[in-house]
Amino acid sequence: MDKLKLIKDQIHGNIIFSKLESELFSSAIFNRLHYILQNSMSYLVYPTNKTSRFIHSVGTCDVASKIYNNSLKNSSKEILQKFLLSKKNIIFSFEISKQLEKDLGLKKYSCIEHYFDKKELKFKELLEPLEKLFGLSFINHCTFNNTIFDDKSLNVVNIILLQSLRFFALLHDYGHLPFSHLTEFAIESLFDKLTDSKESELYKKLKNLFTYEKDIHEIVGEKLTYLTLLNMKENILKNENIDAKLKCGMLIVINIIIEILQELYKAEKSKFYSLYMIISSDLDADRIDYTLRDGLASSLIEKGANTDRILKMFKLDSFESEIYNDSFRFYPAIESLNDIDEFYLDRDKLYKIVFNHHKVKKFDYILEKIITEKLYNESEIDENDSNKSELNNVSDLLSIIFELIEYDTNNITQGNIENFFYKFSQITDYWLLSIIKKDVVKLITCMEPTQSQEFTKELMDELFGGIKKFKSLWKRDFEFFNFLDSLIETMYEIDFFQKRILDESIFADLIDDLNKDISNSKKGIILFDFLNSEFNDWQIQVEKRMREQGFGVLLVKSKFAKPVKELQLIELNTDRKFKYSNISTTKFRRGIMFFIYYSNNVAKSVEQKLLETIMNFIIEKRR
Amino acid sequence: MCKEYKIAKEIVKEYISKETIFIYDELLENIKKSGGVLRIAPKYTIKQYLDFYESKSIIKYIPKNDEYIRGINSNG
Repeated sequence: MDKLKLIKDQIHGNIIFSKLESELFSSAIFNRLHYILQNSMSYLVYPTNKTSRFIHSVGTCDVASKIYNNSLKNSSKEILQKFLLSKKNIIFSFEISKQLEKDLGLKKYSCIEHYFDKKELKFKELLEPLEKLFGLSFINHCTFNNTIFDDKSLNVVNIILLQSLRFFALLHDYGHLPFSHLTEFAIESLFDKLTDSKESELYKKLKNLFTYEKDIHEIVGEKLTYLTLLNMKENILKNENIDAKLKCGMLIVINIIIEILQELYKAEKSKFYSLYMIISSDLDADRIDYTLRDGLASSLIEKGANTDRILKMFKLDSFESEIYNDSFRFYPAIESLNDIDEFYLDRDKLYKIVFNHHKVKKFDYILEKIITEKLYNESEIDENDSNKSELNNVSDLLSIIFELIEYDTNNITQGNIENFFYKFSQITDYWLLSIIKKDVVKLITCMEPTQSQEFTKELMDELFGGIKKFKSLWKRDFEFFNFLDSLIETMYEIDFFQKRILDESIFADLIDDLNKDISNSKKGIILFDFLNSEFNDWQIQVEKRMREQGFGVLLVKSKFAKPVKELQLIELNTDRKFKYSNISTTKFRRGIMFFIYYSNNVAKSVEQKLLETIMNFIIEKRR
Repeated sequence: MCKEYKIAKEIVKEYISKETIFIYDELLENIKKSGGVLRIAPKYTIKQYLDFYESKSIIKYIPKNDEYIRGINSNG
């Protein structure tokens, strides 16, 4: 039997992984995630918080496996059988035989018949290819005894679902760009800045990029995932040591995983939505892993909630609903309610103290601004040479994203995918920092800097020199709400609320709701404006106007944990369901919604100036 | 803010205020045809914008039909 493969992890102990996952861990493209930090610049405030996307992805995979396996073990035989049969029927509907014929091309193996009966897949024949692909020791470790598995086809479906889920978890952050969201935000801001260059090739390509409904890291991640699995297929096809029959079976399995992943990317529309929710929902593997991992890495949460208890009590059950394509759910148990409450409090603490720390927000925003500026400056000299393999400019990042999106998956070879992966794997935090740091040296030695260069130098001094250049107008909640009060009083004076928003009847409910939230009739409305589409406009305009008046100012929005909305808990004995929001007594407070930083070299009177500038901007917008 | 975002935002607001039921994909197609992008601001996708209205129970998404219904306060 093959050797059991394990990774040591400070959070989850020894994490088991399959042979196929081992292949992924041995690729340059997946190893790129070692050099993408989970929390961008937060290590400048919490020096030990240097969690990589690599270990977070592995941790998420482990938690996802536990949710899946424990849920199945805790469920009734009837439900488990129904669940696996329903997923088996979906797999039946995939056009696997057609894809296999395409993969094999001229080398049509007669052994295809071994796996199909009149184009209908014979699941139980896949057991041997599964063992070869995933490793018998992994399969033995991740499966459990149940009489329903006397039907070998259900056993096969179970193993395939588990491996697909694990891949989905491992690759959920695959497309993240350097410093996670920061570069992505910078690219989005670049598009906004290029509004006067509509004829440029770059503008057109960016516009095309934003005709995709998902975020850039999701678009990139999905395409990289697809290419990775195609590459795995190529590796199997080229392997002379595997006999033809087994090769066919292995290709079938990879094709099924590809189809399941494509289906999972449809999120709530997916026929595998219950599996999707294990990775992304109110209480999921992603959130559990980052809360434990980032909490510990920041020395904020030493032990944390008893997530082991939460995970052990998950249960698979049906979900009666007319609106979803999947009628099953993986439910946490009401018996672990206290631990779930504690987990949410940990997460809340992490957002408040680490992610929304006034300095962390400042450093992240400064880096984002520097990247945007660099991309903008390079946009005019962008040669857009997608053939070069060395990436030396920040704008090369855009070229390689466009190259990935346009990558023709119908015309691939093992060599060209691997070359592309090596090229893409250059895109890391360290790569980006090394390019930006060259500019620091240039700026320091610049004899007559322009006003814009002066400002950039100030930003770089703060970020790389450890010199405090920008101060936050507030650090504590009450200071923020005092400022908000002043702002709102002034807005009332100009009759802002009556004329601008209340005449739009659609917002009436929303305003009522926000009023209840904030328990102050005035604050609800302004928060609505700030937290939505308006903020970016305010940010750009107010920063620009303040700078024109000699005030270096930065406006940064906080990022809050998504409120728990849909989570249902199951009572293990009775299968009764309870809505978490109805039974939990835990209260979460709303914190600082946005930060304003001002340059050290201006007086504290900046606050009054800011109020005036914001007001003038609002009045002009009303006209 | 660039025109493409404004177009997108106006179209979404029009759909929410005028249509009782609308298909999500049709909304996206309409935005693209009108010259907009699938963002209403940098870092803010159409889906996130709609999620916000959904979180306030102004609209409800029905995944099976890929449609939004106005004024339904239900959890499916």
